[in-house]
Amino acid sequence: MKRARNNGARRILMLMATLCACAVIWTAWAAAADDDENKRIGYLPVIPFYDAIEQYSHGWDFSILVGGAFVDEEGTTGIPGLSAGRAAEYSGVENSPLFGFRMMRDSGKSYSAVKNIFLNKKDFLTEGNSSMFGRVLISKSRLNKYPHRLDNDLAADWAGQTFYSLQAGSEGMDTVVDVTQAYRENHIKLPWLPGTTLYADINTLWRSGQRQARTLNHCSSCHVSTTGQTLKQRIWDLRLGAEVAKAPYAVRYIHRYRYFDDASQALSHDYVNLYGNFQLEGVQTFAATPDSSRVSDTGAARVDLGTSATALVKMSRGYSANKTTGYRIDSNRFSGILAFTPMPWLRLKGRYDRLDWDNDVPNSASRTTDRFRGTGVFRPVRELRLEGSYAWEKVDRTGGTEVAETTTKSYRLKGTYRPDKRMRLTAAWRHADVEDPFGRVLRNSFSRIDGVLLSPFGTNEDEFNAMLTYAPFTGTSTTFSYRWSRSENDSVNLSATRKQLTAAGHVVMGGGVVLHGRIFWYNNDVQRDVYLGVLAPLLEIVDVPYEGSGTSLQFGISLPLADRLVFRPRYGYTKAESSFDDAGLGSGVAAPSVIDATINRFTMETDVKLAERFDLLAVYILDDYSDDSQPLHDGTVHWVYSGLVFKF
Amino acid sequence: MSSKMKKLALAVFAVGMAIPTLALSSLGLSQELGEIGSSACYDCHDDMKETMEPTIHWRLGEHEANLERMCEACHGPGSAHADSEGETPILYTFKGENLERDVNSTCVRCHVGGTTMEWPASAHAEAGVLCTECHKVKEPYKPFDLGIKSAMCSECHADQASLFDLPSHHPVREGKMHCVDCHNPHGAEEVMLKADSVNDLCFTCHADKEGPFLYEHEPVTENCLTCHNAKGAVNNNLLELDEATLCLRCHAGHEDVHPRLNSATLRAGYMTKCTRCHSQIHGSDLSGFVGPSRFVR
Repeated sequence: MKRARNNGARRILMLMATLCACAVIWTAWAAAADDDENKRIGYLPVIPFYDAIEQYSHGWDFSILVGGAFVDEEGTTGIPGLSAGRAAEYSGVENSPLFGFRMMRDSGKSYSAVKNIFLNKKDFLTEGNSSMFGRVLISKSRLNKYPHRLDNDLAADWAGQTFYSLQAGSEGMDTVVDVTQAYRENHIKLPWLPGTTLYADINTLWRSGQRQARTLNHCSSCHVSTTGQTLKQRIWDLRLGAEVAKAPYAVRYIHRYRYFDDASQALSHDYVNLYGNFQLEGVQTFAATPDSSRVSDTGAARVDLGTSATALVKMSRGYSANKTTGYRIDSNRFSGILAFTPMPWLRLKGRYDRLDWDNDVPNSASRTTDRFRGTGVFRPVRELRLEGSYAWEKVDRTGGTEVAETTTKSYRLKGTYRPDKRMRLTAAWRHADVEDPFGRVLRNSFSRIDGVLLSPFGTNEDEFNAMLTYAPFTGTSTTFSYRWSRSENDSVNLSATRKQLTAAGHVVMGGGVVLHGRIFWYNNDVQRDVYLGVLAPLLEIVDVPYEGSGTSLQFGISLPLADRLVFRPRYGYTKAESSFDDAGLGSGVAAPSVIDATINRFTMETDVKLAERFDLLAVYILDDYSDDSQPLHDGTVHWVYSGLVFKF
Repeated sequence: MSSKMKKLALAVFAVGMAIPTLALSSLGLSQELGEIGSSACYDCHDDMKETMEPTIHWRLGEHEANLERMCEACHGPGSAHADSEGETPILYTFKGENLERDVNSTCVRCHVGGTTMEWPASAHAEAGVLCTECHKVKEPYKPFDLGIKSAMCSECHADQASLFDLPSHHPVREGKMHCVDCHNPHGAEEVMLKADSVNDLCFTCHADKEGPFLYEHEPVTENCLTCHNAKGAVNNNLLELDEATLCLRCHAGHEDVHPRLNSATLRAGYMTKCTRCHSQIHGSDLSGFVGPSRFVR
């Protein structure tokens, strides 16, 4: 399990790869002289080859990338192919060949473009875009695979509390899924019926992997043994439809069929009844997820009424079915929208929605939601927009155990000042009154709690947000935003406040240098009553205040050091904390739930044009995760991706 | 659907069919002002031919648009402008104070279907966002550029993009998902979702949570966002609060079941991760072990 930290061969290999890449880059830099301007911005640590969007001449374009991906990891997890701790949660961490290609044939109206990056067998991405037969068939496609490590079980290694530490059921197994998505969108335009489009979209998603089963160490020593689970799930999602769009009308019909198929093993616990005082004995299998399907038919129509109004109607009818039990939920929806601009300075919108959700599973909830929203936008002068809206929503629930009816009335005011296209200042405030918010009604013959509604939501809510976007000079952009929301509910003494502050911007400087950065801070503060036990003799009502916060700093620079050499270093720092005050429960209760994480990410991309047809790409990525409260999830991963690009 | 709703739908359709005669009459305007064709435009604006040819509009098929009318499809009939040798400005200039007016009245004339069907009722339209703020009409179409990138959205929605930096997040910053996988920037649904509801959208990829289950967890069927923040969160599994605090918002603790939980030490074991035992928290077809216990298997 400590494999990664001590893997000397891997470290030497990585060091050699890095030195080789640096040597070639240095040589190329000295010899470089060409005009390869690059002003890309962004914050995603992707491989430049894949994401490069270049100008090209019409015709044929084909290039390949061949290289290697070298990984080193430091951490305590060390299961082959999985990241150390929580670092690189969505990435494979194995040394592997690196392969990619970009291919395009472009003759104007018809074109086909495919780009691919293959990092390893568990991590690749291919996207395609094509227009064929003179734009009769227009397609987009994506084949995407990535791992997702989910085994972040707090208290899995809760040092100092051996009584409650967890015993893994299956050694060497961790909770991780490999997600594979294949998506294809086909739009067929019928030349003999202008404005008519046929849709045939398919999205398939596979999940495979495993889930660890754990029990409390104390219990597993005598009573319980566990067996993990292999995951094997598949989703097929098919959309077939047709649309006729000829201004001022548009009509669309879509039939959707989604099928979920589960072939996973179920987790199981084997209870051994040594003392005769437990009710359980034998193997208890956890429920395997049932196969299910979703079928819906949706019709939509739009009509523009002159140049000043638009009416939209949308109706859908469908059902979701559990293929094991045969139970199903029927759903019906109607939406009607009228957007009207009677004067250039006035815009009105009215909208009504109704959703019926009829569940035929015994003792399960059915819902009917009615929703109306009216909005008016007034522009006294060109630079100023004043918006007011009112929304009313009623949810009726029958058959379940939750609150039977919730009514929400909300009001929103918004102002936007935009003196010119360089600046936009927006401020908005929303207030909502909620009658019997969604929650669970406690029922007990003891009158003290009978009818108490435990709800996560407030009965009155306020939200304010303000945003300024400003571009003082050409090539610059800045955004500042502040969000504040408060939710209160007297019946459970709820007071929840969330604050969020963001500043971001980029500037394109001379010589193709681009600077970009973002700072983000948020705080989530929740105070409320928590009920412990519902029987009166044991009932306790305590205050368990929760606080969560996050701080993030991201910045980077695109730096063309020479005409043939571009460096793009990026750095990201995130601090995330989550904890509750356990004074009402007993000292030490909160300890295993505390998160005090620090994430450091550093990326350095280099792009060197070696010759007319050759480029050298080298990318170094560092992902470091540490948690002062849960060291189990600490980990560091280093990657070097390096390869040669040949343009045919 | 109730009879009232049917009547309302019919009324909307009836109005919709009657009033467009006004729109049709306005189309005759172009004939009155006189179109001259794109070839005539190039006589003076010869640089525009080279600029426009690589754009998506000039790549449209003959069954989609008449290339000879392309300039005037956006800028309006050009006879008066041409006859006066440029003295009379073209109807739609897309410049200065006219930019907003021209964009709002031009793009929507053709883009009434596809992803733009709901545009007039969308939040972006309501907020006065112009088509040209995201789409560059005169830039060459790039087949490799597969639609709007998340980096573009983050220029205005930096606060939302920042949530992907938190420890638990959907893989947008890793390039495995894009904002437009969940949102339609032209859509009229709540927060521009690409589905009828939050749950309907989530079930697209997380269909294993849909059921219907014999033992359903009502917050799951009501709204996934009751517990999760779809973009990113400090807590595991995109949870808005830590697990015990989250569950205790609606549920009482376990003191009734296990009186010894009055001890703080024992509470710690039970108040760290409820889903350790209630592993089937999104719903199950099996009952609990005993009594009213739910979602434990």
